[in-house]
Formats: sequence, C-alpha cells, structure tokens
Amino acid sequence: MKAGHRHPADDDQDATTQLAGIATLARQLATAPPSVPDIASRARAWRRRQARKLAPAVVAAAAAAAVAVSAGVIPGSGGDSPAAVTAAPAPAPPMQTVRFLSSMASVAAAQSAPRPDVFWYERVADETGPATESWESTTQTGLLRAADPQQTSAIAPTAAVTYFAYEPLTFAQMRALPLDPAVLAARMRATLRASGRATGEHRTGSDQEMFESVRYMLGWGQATPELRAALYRMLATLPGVRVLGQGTDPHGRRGSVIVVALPLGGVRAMLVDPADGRLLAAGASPDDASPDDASPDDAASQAPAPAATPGGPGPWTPPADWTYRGPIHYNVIFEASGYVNAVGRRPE
Amino acid sequence: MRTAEGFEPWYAAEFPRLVASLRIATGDAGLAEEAAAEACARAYAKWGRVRRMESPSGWVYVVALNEVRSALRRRRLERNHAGRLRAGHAPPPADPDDALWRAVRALPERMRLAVALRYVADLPEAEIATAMGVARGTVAATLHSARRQLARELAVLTIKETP
Repeated sequence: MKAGHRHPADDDQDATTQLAGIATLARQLATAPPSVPDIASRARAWRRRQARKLAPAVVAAAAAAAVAVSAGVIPGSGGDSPAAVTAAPAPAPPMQTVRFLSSMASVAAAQSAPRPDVFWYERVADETGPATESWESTTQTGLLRAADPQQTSAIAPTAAVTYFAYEPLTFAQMRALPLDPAVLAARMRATLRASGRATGEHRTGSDQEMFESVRYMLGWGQATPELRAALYRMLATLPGVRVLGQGTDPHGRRGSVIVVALPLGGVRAMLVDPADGRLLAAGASPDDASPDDASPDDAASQAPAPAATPGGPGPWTPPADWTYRGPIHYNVIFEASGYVNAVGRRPE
Repeated sequence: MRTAEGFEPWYAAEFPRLVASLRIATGDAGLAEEAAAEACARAYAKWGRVRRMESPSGWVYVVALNEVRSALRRRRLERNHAGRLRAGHAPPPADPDDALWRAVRALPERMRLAVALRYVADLPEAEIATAMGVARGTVAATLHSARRQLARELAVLTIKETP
C-alpha cells in the first residue's frame, strides 16, 4: 500500500499506535537514577546557591533605599514626592569611559562585514583545557558541531546562533534588532525581565546583566558591524561600566579593559582589541572567578533589586568616582572566528 | 527526613520517564540526566510545597526544561561544560537501532518535545502546554503535525524495507 493513498485519519491512528512504542524504547535506555541522598546533596547545593543569589539583592536594595531617602531630603531637589527622586537625570559612566566606548563604536562600525558562508568557525580556549574548535552550520536547521573535524556530529536542532539577553536568537532575529542604543537597551532590559519571569530567575535588566549580554553577543554572535557599534554605544549608557586602560590576556595579546562593577565588590571584564572592536577575552576579578560562578545565570544573579515601583529603590550603581585597581583573571579566550566553506577549514 | 516524606516513590517513578523524555527532546543523554537530576533536586528542596501541587510531575518538567535551556546557554560560555558534568559517570547507552526512534529524533525540535512529553512523560495536553510555554491548542496542532510527519516517514521506511 502506498502512503499517499491512505486516508489521513488512518495515518494519524497508525502513528498514535506506533508512538506507544517510543516509551518502551525509552525505558530500555534507563540508567540507574542518582540515589536519593545524591539528590538531597544536590538540593542542599542549590539552596546554598539561592542563598548567595539573594544576598546581593538585599544589600543593594538597602543601599539604594538609603540613597533615595537622602536624596529626598535635599532642599530644592525637585519636590517632596517620591517620583521626583526617580525623575533625576539618569547616571552615566565617567566622560572618559563614554568617549572610549563611542570611539569603539565608530571603529566597530567601520569594519567590513564578513561574507557569510556555510559554516561559522570558532576557536575558544578556557582555563580547563586546550582550545575547542567548532564549525556550526549556518544553513541547516540543526547545528553541526565538531571539536575534531573527523568527529562532526549533529547536536539538538536549533536555529539559534547567539543569545540576546539569555534568549536564543536566530540570524533573522539578530538582523532585526534595533540599532538605536536607547531602543536596543530597552529591548534588552525587557527581554531580560521577561526571561527571568519565564524561568523564575531573579533578573532585573541591571547593568551587570546587560554587560553579560553584550559580552555574549560580541564574543559569539556573528553580529554585524552596525550591531557591534550599537552594543558599544549602549554600554556607554550603563552607569556601572568603566574603561580601565590596557590589559593583557593569557596569550599575551594586549587590549582595552572594559568592566562592570558587581554589587558585592569585584568586576566582570572583557578585553577588546581597540583596532577593530573584537572581543579578545572574558574574565573577572579573582574573587568572582570560581568555576561555579562562571555561568551567565549566576552572573545575572549578582544583579541587585530593580526599581519595582515608581519612587522605589533604584537599581544599584557604583559611586561616580568608583574604579577598580585589582587584578583581572581572563578565563575564556577567543582565539579565532569567521566563516568558512567546509568543516575542517579555518579562516585565513 | 520528615519534610521529604513521599519523595522517594515519586522520584523512583518519575526520574526514568523524565530522563527519557529529555533525551528524546534534546538528543543529548548527558544533558538529559543532568537536567533531570537538577530538577528532582529542586523538587526535593521544595518538596513540602511541590507535593501539594496539583501536578508535581508537570512542575518538574517545567523546571527540567528550564534547566536544559540554561545548560545550553552555559555550554556556549564554557564549551566543555558538558564533558565536566559527565566526568565520573558511566557513558550513557547508545540510541536504539530502531526506525521509530530515528523518525522521532528527526522531527523538528518543537514536535519532538511535544511527542516526548505526551508519549513518554504521559503528560496531559494542558500540562504540556505549560511546560512548553504555548497555548493548549498549539500542543494539539503540534502533536497532530508530528503524527502526520511520522506516519509519512514510517510509511516510506516500510516501503523501502519491503523487497
């Protein structure tokens, strides 16, 4: 019997019957589950992480509340309604930082966009071992990824090429992102908050989360020069961001250091090449470099409480004269990336 | 422990189904085991509340799928994260050599997830909708499309295998 001559309802019934077998197949794969004491131990570890996540929010909210109260009693500060406090001009990074990031935006915008090809190649090293190479298909639904060209394998199909505010992003969505820094920032904040609501994580659209999101896109996204420029311009509007001068990654490559202040002290950092705006390495201050904390989720959780209601405590930002003079440990090194036409090839 | 009363039988019944569903949905045995264990750990941590929910199983699938999404994000930050997670564990069994399994694995991601949650996890459509973050009607339509695609695929295979 040919498939095309059957009634669709018969096909549906057949498939339903066959699908009963999938559960049987799945049961054959069952491995021994972790013991209940193992699960209990995981549960304790999770509780500890949650407790650490809550701590900065509480500290920062208290600090912000103190600032709001003191601002409210300054004579002639614009009235005594709480709304007047939040109507004050938004803080911005120091002029030197703003100038540098604006110049980086111009540098990034002046780069020519690489010609797309069928694979996107990346070579990334981290402190846990040798560099990892990958070739991701830009044309198929499933991404092909390989640490070794001889061992290319298909991974879970997804059309995402990068992450915007922790949400998967396709090529088409990336190209449709707004390029006006203020609109881009608003979109990123809204996406962060929505993503936090969806996953039950504490996300507020804070400077720390925004910085992480920008670092993600500069590091992995095949972002266009225009988008890179917009990301730099957006960074220049985040009051917790500072440019700290020159730095060197573990490969000895020199670049400019851009950081964001963390509420409990320390920084998250990126090292960028001032010649073309490329991200060279990502890192943090040593007190923030434990492997468990290297995930963007935990990074996001460093963020303080947001201004939940008009007149409520504002987001945490460091004092205007804040800077960081401690060491920075770069643990992810972006060695090379670019489009190539076959798995196993590397960009020139 | 008094607060974990009732957890063990629920866990023993739910964990294998959860791992199997995630394995079909993600195609990644290590990720499936890790996400399932993490989700069950959260259920344990909040068992007093979770056990009183209308559907503890529906809740644990939502948490596990969120964990899968987080893990995929982390992997992009730390390429060999998955390798570290699996260190010290026995390698997972290979995929079954079966036409049905291959046909399900070849479905688009959304259909595969719906099939896993319906036919392996045995969740009702309303809970699948919650876990996938879509409307209930979308679940029905997705499952219908998945069945249609599977029927087509399996019919072609049957014809090819017939001499």
